[in-house]
Amino acid sequence: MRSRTAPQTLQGQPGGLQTKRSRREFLQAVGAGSTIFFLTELLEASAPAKAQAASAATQTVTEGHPPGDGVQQNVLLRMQADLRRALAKPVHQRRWVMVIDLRKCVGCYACTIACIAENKLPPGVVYRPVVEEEVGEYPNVTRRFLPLPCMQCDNPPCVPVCPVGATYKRADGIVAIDYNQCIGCRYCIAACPYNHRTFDAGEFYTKGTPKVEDYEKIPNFEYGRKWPRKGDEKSPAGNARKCHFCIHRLEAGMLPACVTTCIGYATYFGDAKDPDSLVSEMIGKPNVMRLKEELGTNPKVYYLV
Amino acid sequence: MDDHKIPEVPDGRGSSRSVTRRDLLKTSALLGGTALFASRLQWAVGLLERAEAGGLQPGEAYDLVKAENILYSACLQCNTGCGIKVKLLDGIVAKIDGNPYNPFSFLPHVPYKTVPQQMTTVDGPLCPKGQAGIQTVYDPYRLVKVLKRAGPRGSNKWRTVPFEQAVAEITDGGKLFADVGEDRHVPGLREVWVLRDPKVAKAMEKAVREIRAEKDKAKKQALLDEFKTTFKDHLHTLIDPNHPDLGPKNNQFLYFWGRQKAGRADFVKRFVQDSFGSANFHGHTTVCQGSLYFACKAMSEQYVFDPKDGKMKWTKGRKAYWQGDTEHAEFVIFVGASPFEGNYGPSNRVPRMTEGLASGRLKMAVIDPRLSKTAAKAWRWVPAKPGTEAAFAFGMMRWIIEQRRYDERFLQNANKAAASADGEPTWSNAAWLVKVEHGKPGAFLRGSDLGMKPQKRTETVKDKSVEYAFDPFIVLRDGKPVPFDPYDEKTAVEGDLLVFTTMKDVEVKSVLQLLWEEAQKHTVDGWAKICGVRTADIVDLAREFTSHGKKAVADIHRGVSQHTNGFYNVVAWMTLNTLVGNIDWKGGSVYGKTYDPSGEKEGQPYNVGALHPRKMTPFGVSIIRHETKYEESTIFEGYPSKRPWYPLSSDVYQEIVPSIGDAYPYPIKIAYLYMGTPVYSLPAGHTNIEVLKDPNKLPLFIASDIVIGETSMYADYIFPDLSYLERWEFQGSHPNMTIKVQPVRQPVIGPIPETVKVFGEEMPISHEAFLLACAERLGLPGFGKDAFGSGQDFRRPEGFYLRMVANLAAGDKPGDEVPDAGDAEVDLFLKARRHLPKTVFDPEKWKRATGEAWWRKVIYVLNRGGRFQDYKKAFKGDLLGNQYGQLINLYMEKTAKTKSSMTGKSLPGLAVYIPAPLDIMGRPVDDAPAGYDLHLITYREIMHTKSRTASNYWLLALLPENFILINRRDALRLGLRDGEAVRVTSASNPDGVWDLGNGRTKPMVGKLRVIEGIRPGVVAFSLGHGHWAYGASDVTINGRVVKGDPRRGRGLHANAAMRIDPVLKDTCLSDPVGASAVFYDTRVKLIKVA
Amino acid sequence: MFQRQWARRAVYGAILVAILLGLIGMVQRLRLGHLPANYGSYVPWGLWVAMYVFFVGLSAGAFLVFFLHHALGIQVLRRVSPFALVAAFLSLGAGLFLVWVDLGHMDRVWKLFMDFTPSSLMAWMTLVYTLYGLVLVMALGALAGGSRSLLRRLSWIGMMLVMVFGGGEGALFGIVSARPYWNSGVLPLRFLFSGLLAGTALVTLLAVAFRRWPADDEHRRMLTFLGRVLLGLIGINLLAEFADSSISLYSAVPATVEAYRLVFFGPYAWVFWIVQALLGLAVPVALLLYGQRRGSGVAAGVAGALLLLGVFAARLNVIIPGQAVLGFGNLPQAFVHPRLATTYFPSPIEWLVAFGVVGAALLVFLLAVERWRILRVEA
Ligand SMILES: Nc1nc2c(c(=O)[nH]1)N[C@H]1C(S)=C(S)[C@@H](COP(=O)(O)OP(=O)(O)OC[C@H]3O[C@@H](n4cnc5c(=O)[nH]c(N)nc54)[C@H](O)[C@@H]3O)O[C@H]1N2
Ligand SMILES: Nc1nc2c(c(=O)[nH]1)N[C@H]1C(S)=C(S)[C@@H](COP(=O)(O)OP(=O)(O)OC[C@H]3O[C@@H](n4cnc5c(=O)[nH]c(N)nc54)[C@H](O)[C@@H]3O)O[C@H]1N2
Ligand code: SF4
Ligand code: SF4
Ligand code: SF4
Ligand code: SF4
Ligand code: SF4
Ligand SMILES: [Mo]
Repeated sequence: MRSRTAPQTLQGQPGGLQTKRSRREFLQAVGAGSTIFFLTELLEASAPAKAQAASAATQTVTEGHPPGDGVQQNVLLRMQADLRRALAKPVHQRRWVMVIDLRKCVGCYACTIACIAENKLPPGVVYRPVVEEEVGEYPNVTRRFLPLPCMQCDNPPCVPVCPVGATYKRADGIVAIDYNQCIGCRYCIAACPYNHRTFDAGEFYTKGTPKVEDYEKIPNFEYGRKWPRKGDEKSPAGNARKCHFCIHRLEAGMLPACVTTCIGYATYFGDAKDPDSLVSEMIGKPNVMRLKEELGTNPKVYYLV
Repeated sequence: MDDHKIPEVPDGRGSSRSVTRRDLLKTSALLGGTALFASRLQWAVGLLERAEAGGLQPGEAYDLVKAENILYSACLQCNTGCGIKVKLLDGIVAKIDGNPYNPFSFLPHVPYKTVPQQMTTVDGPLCPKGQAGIQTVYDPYRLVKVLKRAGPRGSNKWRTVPFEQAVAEITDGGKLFADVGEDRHVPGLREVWVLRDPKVAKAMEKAVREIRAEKDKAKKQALLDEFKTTFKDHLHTLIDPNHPDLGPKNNQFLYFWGRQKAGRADFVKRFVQDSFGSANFHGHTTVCQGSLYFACKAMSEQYVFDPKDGKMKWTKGRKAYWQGDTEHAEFVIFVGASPFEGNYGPSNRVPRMTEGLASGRLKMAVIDPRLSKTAAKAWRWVPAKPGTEAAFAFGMMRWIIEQRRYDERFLQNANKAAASADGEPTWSNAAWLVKVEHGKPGAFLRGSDLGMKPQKRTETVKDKSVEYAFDPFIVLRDGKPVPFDPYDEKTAVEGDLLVFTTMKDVEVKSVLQLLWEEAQKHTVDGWAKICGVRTADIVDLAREFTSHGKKAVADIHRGVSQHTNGFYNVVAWMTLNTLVGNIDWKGGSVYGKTYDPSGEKEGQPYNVGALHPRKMTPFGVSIIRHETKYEESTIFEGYPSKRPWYPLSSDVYQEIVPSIGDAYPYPIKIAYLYMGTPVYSLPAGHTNIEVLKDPNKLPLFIASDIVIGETSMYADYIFPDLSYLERWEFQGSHPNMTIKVQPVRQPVIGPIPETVKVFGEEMPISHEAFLLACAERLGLPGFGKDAFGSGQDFRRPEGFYLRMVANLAAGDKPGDEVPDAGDAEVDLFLKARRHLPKTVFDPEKWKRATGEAWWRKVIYVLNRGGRFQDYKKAFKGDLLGNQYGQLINLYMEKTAKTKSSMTGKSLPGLAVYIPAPLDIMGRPVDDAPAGYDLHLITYREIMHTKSRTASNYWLLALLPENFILINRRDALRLGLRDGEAVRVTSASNPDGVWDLGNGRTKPMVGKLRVIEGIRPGVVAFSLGHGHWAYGASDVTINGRVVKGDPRRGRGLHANAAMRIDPVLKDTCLSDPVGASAVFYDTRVKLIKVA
Repeated sequence: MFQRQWARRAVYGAILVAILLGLIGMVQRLRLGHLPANYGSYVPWGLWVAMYVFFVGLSAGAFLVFFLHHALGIQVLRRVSPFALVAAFLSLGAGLFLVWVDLGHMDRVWKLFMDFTPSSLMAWMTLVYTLYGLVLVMALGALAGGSRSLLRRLSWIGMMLVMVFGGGEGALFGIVSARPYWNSGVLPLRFLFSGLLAGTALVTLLAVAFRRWPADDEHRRMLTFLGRVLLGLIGINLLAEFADSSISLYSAVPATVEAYRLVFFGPYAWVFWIVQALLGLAVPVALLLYGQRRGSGVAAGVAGALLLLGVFAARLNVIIPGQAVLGFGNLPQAFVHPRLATTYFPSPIEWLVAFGVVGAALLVFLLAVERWRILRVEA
């Protein structure tokens, strides 16, 4: 009846169990054969992705700075190389994680806006707010910034509550929404402990001005499909919405928009199942924490402090 | 399609309205580019339908990864101008990312030779404003047609007029506003374009220069009389034949701008100066960080032969400044600078620091009354009192000199040879001896003072050999005076640093000695007290600053320069950088370098400035009296002058409009404002309204804008401009950029303003189209047929810019050319521009402009968004590859020889601490006794830019309104609560309102945010909110009301509270030396709004 | 039923006005989607969901009365039990209509049936409502057919379903670990009990206001009985609420404490103190006690009405504050939009639709009572 593939509930999906990989395993993996952060072996032209991303396959890898020329590698290029390695594996053997280094986050909101631009988010919908907080008393004060994408919980409270199975956990760990299936009941929104999900009420930023501008109507590419924006209750309007780690970019061999745009180079992304990936190295460090771990959600977004 | 319904929207007051597309076309013919939209939508709809029908394959769907949908250009959402990668979907901008070729947006950036097809999946970082540029460009309130006022100035009643008509009216003049009841003749450009003979202009310029240089009164008069006879046939071309130094009547056409970059600057210079011959060509520098520029200019003056004057003098000081190389520094002190929020900055600077913060390489201290985001990451936040920046520097200097922790080896070098011997690219005058007369340091001690004979030297000027004298400078070495030439590359001369002696009855001191004495005026405790900080703050910073060799740097910005003492604050901090000798070293002070597109370099094909058939030499004092001494003018009437003169500065924004108002030194008839908004941006900018709205003071006022802005709303005509994604420019670089660059801004989308015909060519209305059309109608030389030489016409805007790109492709010297683009790149170049209409992209015409020989090189440059040096070439071991490499003046002799036109007193020649604020006569301004108990400062939030992001709804969602930041202690003391609304009042604006001069006022009311992170006694508001134009208010066009959008007008803009100078009464406080407009020296009172 | 013609006109007039307003609201809702509604993301569920929860609770309580008569044979409820059945039916309808209107995609409601997702409580609830709805329809049929045994069997089945969804309704919230204020094992019981209370109160009110029988002794005995049931249910409710709040507050989860703080002292504290505690509890208890002694119909009716109000306020005070406390305090300032705020007050259109639904349910009820012969129980 529905053209989409059946949603994978937590219990039933292959990645669910494998993600319960222990911290020790990570540490071992890092110890085994990791490269050094920033200096690299770079961008070996691994067979990009799979045949699935037809156009992406034609995009060959950038050359960057050749190894050994004394110039440090741009860390985005390093992660892109990691990404391509992951894409070469079957989907269930990938585990996408994000690492946010709070020491490097300057609260610039570039990620917030890049995500909005990339995914053409309407008013009231946001996938990556950055929460700011002032701590201390004059003159011993500081400010803290906390970017909040979806935690892509391995045990996501938002998924089981959905009455129509519109939201589900993918084999690679991403919690996705089937826009055409979602009835807009907003139960998942209520159920997310991170207040991550938002409701698309069908607004336009330029509504009420002399012209509703085109840039709001052109399609976004979420979940690898084109979603032109028509307002009313045409999906994704009327739906719950959330961060999806930019699946459509991953499939094209690109890092999520909030990662590439991060001017602090504070956001890292990659495959936790690849011991050689930069993120695997990072989440094996002692200064790692996750938000609301006590709820048992098992978030896949890590913070460095 | 025409009836395409825009659904009803409740407007918040319960009612709702509904507009059909046809209505829109009728009502707002000039707004929002609706006509164009219709055709654009057609494609989009086709696409949507395909998508809906499921006709797109999954992989295919991500169109933004295709090379032919990507164009590289330069951001202008703030002046940093990062490299951008614009991704298009059927001609509409879908996403903007950072350009990985450009070091402003990728660290390290990819090698220049990387082919663009390989870069499609690589996106660079970009700040939120850069991302939101889409909303500046696709702004429903954008202008597409020329507006002419249909009521008094500022009434916001407009009608649309055909472009040709507007141009005709402006060039020809006449009773242009008879229809709104103004029976007055308005002068046209032709009437003002009086002196047309370049030869006469040149001769007059030379004669005027001689008159000015003559100090003797009688001789001066004689020269004046001589002038009158020599030029008796041309006296009518002068503003005042008795004062030829006011220049020709042409000067009564004034062009001024806010944000203008190379390319456009050269284009307009050609029009205003080279062709029209006006000397009034002024930018906004002093509203920005003027005194920073002009202090560093003074510090970078070189004592060299000046071919124009035929003698040696202090000249070639560059309007440029230093910032820190934070990518390699170990310790940075940011003073009044916030690279994580504003600055130049933030996309390029943040990554050059965060890595170091996380790895422990970098330690930062921040001196700022407000806990900026930069300060939030700092090792030490020092909330010193605003205006005491130099005092803090002197506290550090006192400790550093006392402890002899300065770089002695560096400072002893008196000339280039000595510096080279130490591997130092630069040297200072720290050891040079200065004569002290009547206890005041004056000129440098010279060989002649010690009875040495000046050297005879010769120089060739225009094939003629000119003889001149060189009188050497002196240092003391082992008790003996040593003469030297600062630029001597062979004989190294070093000098003792702390010298205090008499020679031949002349008291002399070394420069460092003078500094040391200045620093000794207070103890470190004393300096700390002045700054309101702990002594430990000064000592700790000084120790840290001198503990990292050359890898420690002070990086300063507006918080230092925009005070009445700005110039000397800047000198004090730059002196500190010199004391550790960090200039041109990795981790030290950087001087930005760019590839020059002007064509002046050898091997460049088109010297666009020189390729001119009848180039004028503009002359005469400018309306802002810049770079010229009052004493030399023929209108010298003793002190004070009517308004201040600025002999050491230029682009004195705050002086432009008030000087027009005072007609000092002469009246202006026509003013053309490009991309600037003095009313909004200046401190006390509301004072400009009085002048701008009065046709008697300013008979014709034209503006170029993309919307109806806070200042353009007072214009007689507004010409729609192309936005930054539709136009050409060369963005240049910034002082903190260690890599040599020249980003190119180029059209990436079709134009939004309507198409017109100029010189027989179709083009969109724009800044250039307006100038070209005026040139055509006036018959101005330098435009149209054969303007660049025979067979080389200048009819289209890009004709100019493409030639400049060819220069860029040629590089700075022969052998520096970029490679030719290969066939695949040429193909991509064309394909990626398939959505651009012929009016802006016609490959044949483009190729004709660049010439066949350069075409493929031009493509190579444009395919990468500019020209960028490879990363590894930017460094040489521990040194920066792009160097300043010259003398740095700790003592500025030229400055010391300059007098204030208001007081007649000479200016200090080295760093000093002068308390702030002072009025233009140098008297303290103290409003505290009148109950103005809080110190007002202003700052940038990262998500807003000046007057320009009110249209960026994404950014508004991050900060829909700004706040007045206040410390919790002050709030408690004053009984104020978080979120409460207060009115900002000051001694010069006790009502706390913006008087818009059109019957409307806007109260300066904002909400309080009570925080810990601000110095008690100081309140701050951020720049960018509180609009009353820019689409925030209703305007009437062709008799119909176009509703404003209240979202664009929220928050507060408290510039009108900033202190008006009590002497001038129509201008903000200003730094009399560096000319900065003063933002941070106002005292205010907050009044609760019931 | 209506002793005076003007009263009838007034009631029908008011109902028609409400329906008219509701139609306006519905037209706007259908034209503009969710734009005019005030619920959003940080408060995803607003007035409509609160009313839906309230209405299905009403249905449960009304069914209780029906059950008491048909299953347990409490004769004194003879006259009012058909009222109760109709009320149960209409309440369910009104409640489900409101959640339907609340859906982001009303046209996709069928997916609830076609894509049943066993992990989702909401999916199960849908199933239970469907069965319960069927039971109600059959019971109405049986009422017409006069089959007492069928009615008895249906009332047993129905009552079991009532227990399931009456509690399930609370579980819908109770299982949400994201909202500590809701996240409690007692919440399902609280919802069940308060639903029963409200439903019984509704039936009491209807019996007083729209009775089609004389105010005779049987009537007074019926009211006395209903009064006792109400008092009993109030007692049980207080106990459940006390258990819930004391456990929650004792555990001192910050978000829960903050939510309670909002309820007791927040901007809408008056809802708790005045509407819920005073008007919705203290006054009706007094009236009921008074009514017990005097057998006053008016007192019972007013008490019923006030109890309805009180339970509704209590529902709001569970649903809204539970959402108003976010995991990250400054989140609403991070990206500003009315739908990303923790403050919520229903928009005009939400009210309009709500009025309309109440009006429509009342209209059908009155028409049924006035026109439908089977509801005329002989005195
Ligand atoms: N309170 C406060 N005020 C400040 C500052 C502050 O820190 N606090 N900072 C100051 C500084 S550093 C600066 S540089 C100034 C800047 O002040 P300005 O240089 O005067 O102005 P901008 O805000 O850059 O914008 C100028 C105007 O140009 C028009 N415009 C926008 N885009 C275009 C375009 O593409 N083409 C054309 N033709 N016109 C366009 C709009 O009307 C806009 O309002 O502001 C100063 N004002
Ligand atoms: N986001 C954003 N970035 C921008 C721009 C923008 O509009 N928005 N504009 C660009 C332009 S044109 C410019 S000139 C630069 C300006 O860049 P900056 O000069 O770095 O920025 P500002 O915020 O003007 O001022 C810097 C700091 O000075 C502090 N300050 C204020 N008063 C005082 C004082 O009296 N003493 C001291 N020590 N500090 C003080 C402020 O709190 C602020 O943190 O930014 C550029 N970048
Ligand atoms: S953060 Fe929220 S939306 Fe994301 S997976 Fe976890 S529960 Fe679901
Ligand atoms: S809003 Fe959509 S995704 Fe969320 S629970 Fe409801 S149907 Fe599922
Ligand atoms: S991963 Fe993609 S969707 Fe998620 S926050 Fe980042 S940009 Fe947005
Ligand atoms: S873009 Fe990076 S630095 Fe900026 S707020 Fe987001 S995570 Fe922080
Ligand atoms: S800092 Fe931001 S706004 Fe400024 S030029 Fe760079 S990207 Fe554009
Ligand atoms: Mo600036």
